[in-house]
Amino acid sequence: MKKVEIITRTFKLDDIKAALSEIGIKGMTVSEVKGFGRQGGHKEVYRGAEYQVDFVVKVKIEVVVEDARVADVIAAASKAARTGQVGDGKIFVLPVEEVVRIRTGETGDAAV
Amino acid sequence: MNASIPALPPAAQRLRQGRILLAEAAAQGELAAYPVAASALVDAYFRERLDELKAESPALFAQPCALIAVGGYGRSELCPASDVDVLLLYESAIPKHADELSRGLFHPLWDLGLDLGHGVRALADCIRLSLEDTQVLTSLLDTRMIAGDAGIVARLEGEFASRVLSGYAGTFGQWVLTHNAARRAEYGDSSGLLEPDLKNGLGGLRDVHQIHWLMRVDPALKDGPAAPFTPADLDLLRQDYAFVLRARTALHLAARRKTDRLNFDLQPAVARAMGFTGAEPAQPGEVQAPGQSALATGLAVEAFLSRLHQSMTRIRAMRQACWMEAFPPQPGGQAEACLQPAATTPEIFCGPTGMALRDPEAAAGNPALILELYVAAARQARPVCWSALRATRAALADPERRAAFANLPGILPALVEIFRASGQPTESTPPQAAPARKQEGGGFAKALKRFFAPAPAPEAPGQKDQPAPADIAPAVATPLQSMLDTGLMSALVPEFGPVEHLVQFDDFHIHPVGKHTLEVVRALAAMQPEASGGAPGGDLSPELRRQAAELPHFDRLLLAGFCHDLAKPDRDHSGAGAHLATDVLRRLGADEPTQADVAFLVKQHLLIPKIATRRDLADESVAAGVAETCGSVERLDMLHLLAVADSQSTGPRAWNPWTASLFEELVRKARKLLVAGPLAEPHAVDKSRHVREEALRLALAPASGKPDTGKAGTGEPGVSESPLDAAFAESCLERMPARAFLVLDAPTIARHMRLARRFKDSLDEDMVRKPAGKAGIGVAEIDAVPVKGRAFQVSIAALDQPGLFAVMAGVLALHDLNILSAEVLTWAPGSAGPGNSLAVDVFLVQEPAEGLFLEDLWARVKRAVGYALTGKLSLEYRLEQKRSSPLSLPSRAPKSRRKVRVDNEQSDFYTLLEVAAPDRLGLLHDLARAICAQDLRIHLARIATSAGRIHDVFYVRTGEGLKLTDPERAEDVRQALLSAAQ
Repeated sequence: MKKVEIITRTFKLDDIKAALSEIGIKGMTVSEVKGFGRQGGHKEVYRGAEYQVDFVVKVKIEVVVEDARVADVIAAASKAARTGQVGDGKIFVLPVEEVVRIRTGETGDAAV
Repeated sequence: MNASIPALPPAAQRLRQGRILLAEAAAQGELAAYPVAASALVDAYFRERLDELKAESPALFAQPCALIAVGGYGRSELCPASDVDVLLLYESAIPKHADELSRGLFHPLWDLGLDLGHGVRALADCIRLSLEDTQVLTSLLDTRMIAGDAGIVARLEGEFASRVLSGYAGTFGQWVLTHNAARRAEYGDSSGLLEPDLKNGLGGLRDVHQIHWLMRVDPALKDGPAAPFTPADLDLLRQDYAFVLRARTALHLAARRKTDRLNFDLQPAVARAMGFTGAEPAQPGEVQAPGQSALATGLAVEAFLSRLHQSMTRIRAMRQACWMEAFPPQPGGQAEACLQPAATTPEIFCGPTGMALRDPEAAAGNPALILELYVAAARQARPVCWSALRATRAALADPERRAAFANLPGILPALVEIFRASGQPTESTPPQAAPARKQEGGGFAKALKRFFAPAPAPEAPGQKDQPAPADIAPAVATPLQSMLDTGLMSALVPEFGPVEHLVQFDDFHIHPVGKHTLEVVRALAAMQPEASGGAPGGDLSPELRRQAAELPHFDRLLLAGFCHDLAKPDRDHSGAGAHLATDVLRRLGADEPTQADVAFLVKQHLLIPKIATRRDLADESVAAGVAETCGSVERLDMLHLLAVADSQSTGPRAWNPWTASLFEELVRKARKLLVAGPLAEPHAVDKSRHVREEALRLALAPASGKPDTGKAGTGEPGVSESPLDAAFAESCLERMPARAFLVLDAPTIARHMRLARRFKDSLDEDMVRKPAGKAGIGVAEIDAVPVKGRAFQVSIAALDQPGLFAVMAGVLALHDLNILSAEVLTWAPGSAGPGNSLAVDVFLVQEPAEGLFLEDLWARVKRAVGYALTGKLSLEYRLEQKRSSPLSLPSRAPKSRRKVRVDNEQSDFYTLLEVAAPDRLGLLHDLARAICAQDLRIHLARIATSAGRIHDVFYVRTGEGLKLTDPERAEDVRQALLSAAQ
């Protein structure tokens, strides 16, 4: 099993959710996060004083899937999230050791 | 590992058991019964579960309600991974305990892993929602009561019919149109794809649903006096539907998850489950089959796909016809069109839905009339209406009448007229081949996609119901498409029959041959200057348009387009095709010059693609060879246009701006030789001198004004480029190989001189810092500029050393840069310090995905070359790591054979090593390493990749600078390359 973390623009959330649902992904966890990448945050002018905004608001989508589906998830998510501009975000893939569905006690792929 | 599934209620346990047994039976071949049986099992579950709940807490049923199956479940067609869509319906308000009831009903289904779509609604909400959201409406068109109060269901049906359906046909028709445009963009025409989508692709199950929906919405289509379909038509539709549904069931079982795309890797299993065993005897010519079982699998898949395409083609044609009958285009303006003489006979007239026959029944016995109908349709640019298509099918069903078609007089002029009129894109045309429509896709297609995404927000869907309907023209088939769909084409030209539905189970072909032929003819017809009717012929360059406009015999080109693949799957399909084309044309009464030209075009239709992508175009003898083969400008132009149409129609991966620019370069050179003779090309020496002088001038000028380098940069962004020292520039020119002046232009040579200076500076510094013996090895400099054809020219300079080319190719692959061609220029000794030579390898790479931080990219490439040369970066390991990443999906298609040829004939100075193999990451690196290990030097590499297969040609010489003439050594090299291409 792998966890796929997609960090991208907030307004892309719906598109990504739709794209993932379409390929049969049934669950995800979404959180609002802040950070910066190559663009290094952007500058904003506020009340006449320019100051550095170091962190940009992004959305983080976490999906846990069986290994064989990782490539599909990444293909669908990156297609939906891509604008070709700086700030499209990144996708991380991490190994997952075990999953337990609390209600039933199911584990492994069955619990994903 | 797994804990047992939590305590399931008995009803759910029985459902689970039942589904397991059903899947086992399906695996034994009982596919057809699955959808109905699976639906019945779920029905039984709901009824039993309701009884269980009633026994547990009767209070839940205080208010009457009904459980209704909707959508696919409503139609009783549950495939193994289908959604189960149900509706819990209440008369008026939804009571509080509905929550508990639905939990009790639905949660066990979740635990079983079923995809459940459920709604709990009051009657009035259902009606309101279906008026707002067509998706809800279509689900309610297929309802089936499972349990509960029949009175509520009857009231729902009554209100649905009176308040929603009556008068709704127009809006619904428009919705179908926009929905189908979105389907075409997303899934393509499944009736002509080798990886079809069985549900949503055009020709898929969704088309059959639409026919039934249209009949529900407009009952006149079903049993009105002008109902388009006869009981026999509907019976055929039922059979085709059953076939595709069986295939979908088999697909779900094979994939073990919900998927409707019949991918290559699942095709063998599905074909087997459908009873296609491929046990037919192999063709007599097939002696080198890799294994008998693999061959049988291939044959089984080909037979299955061919059968599937035929079903899907009929389904698509019927859906088109049904829509046209329901919504005939511009009923007002049609009357005028009818006044024009449509044909020489009054039997044919221009009806509201297309060209029609006065008496279709009688016409079925008159082949000449049927042919004339298609010609008249082509002349009027109208489709052929359904009743006439039926008459065509009826005529073709009778073997005697079918045979009579081939002997009709006037087939040839009829075909030519129909071909000429087939330029506009049809619904089946892949979207990328019809740019006129693509533009309107964008935001609109996206809006549609969101609209059809699962679980749409219930508040807002209504407003998107009328999204600019004027933008979407109804999908009509050209007469040519209809001739293919009905099988008329193969009756007129029996030689077309064997290839009509021919599918080749490999990675190279995207369409069956018949459909591909149709697309080639369409692309050619669209090139005619008069074919401007709103459909420009793809991304055609002005040069090609001019060539097409000037052709004196366009008909011959169209006929060649039709005949070019007739001899497939023969090993030498162009050679055999030329004979076949001559036979066909002679029988049809074509004159000698037409026969000769068409035979020539068919025989040579692969000449330009092969030569342009695999040969050294700077070698004048290459263009001379093409010019000699063609003999005249007219033939050359026709061959060029045919090659472009053929490549465009093969699929998106076979055609790109880079290939187009190679075709044009080759044709331009060959054309020059034909028009002005060999002396037209400035003498090589003169040309070299001219380039040399110009390069020197550029090098000595300040390099500030370098617009062509643009944002690409040079890898040394901070360094400003001052003019070169004259002595240094002269020494560069002296040491450059003579070939550089032939294949590079003056600005590139000037840039290479600057590259050499940067290299020298870095080398000097390295010499100071490192001990002799180690110094200089890892020094590399890079220069990259954008060039024509959406590509970049990347020149990398390093000390000449064995394996350098392999290292550079590996580094570029590691950075996801797709190499299109490569040139190795080794400067004379002394160019990189005493006794050392400078090597400048010039790569043409496809435009990188990274368009924003190119400077970074080139700097990374440069560093990686340095590290790899000094042993700090193991390319083999890194490439292997990249290959084994879960993200690098191996191609799912069956592998094509590997071939290596050693050729000493093509070039006077080099031995050509031609390698054809399935593509993979780092293949060029491995091939180059193998060549280097054989003590051969690569001087030029042409890299052609098309649809998952590479065809690389290396121009090599031995370490002593000679051609590889020893047959034993040549065989060693061949074996080494074969093994490297694994």
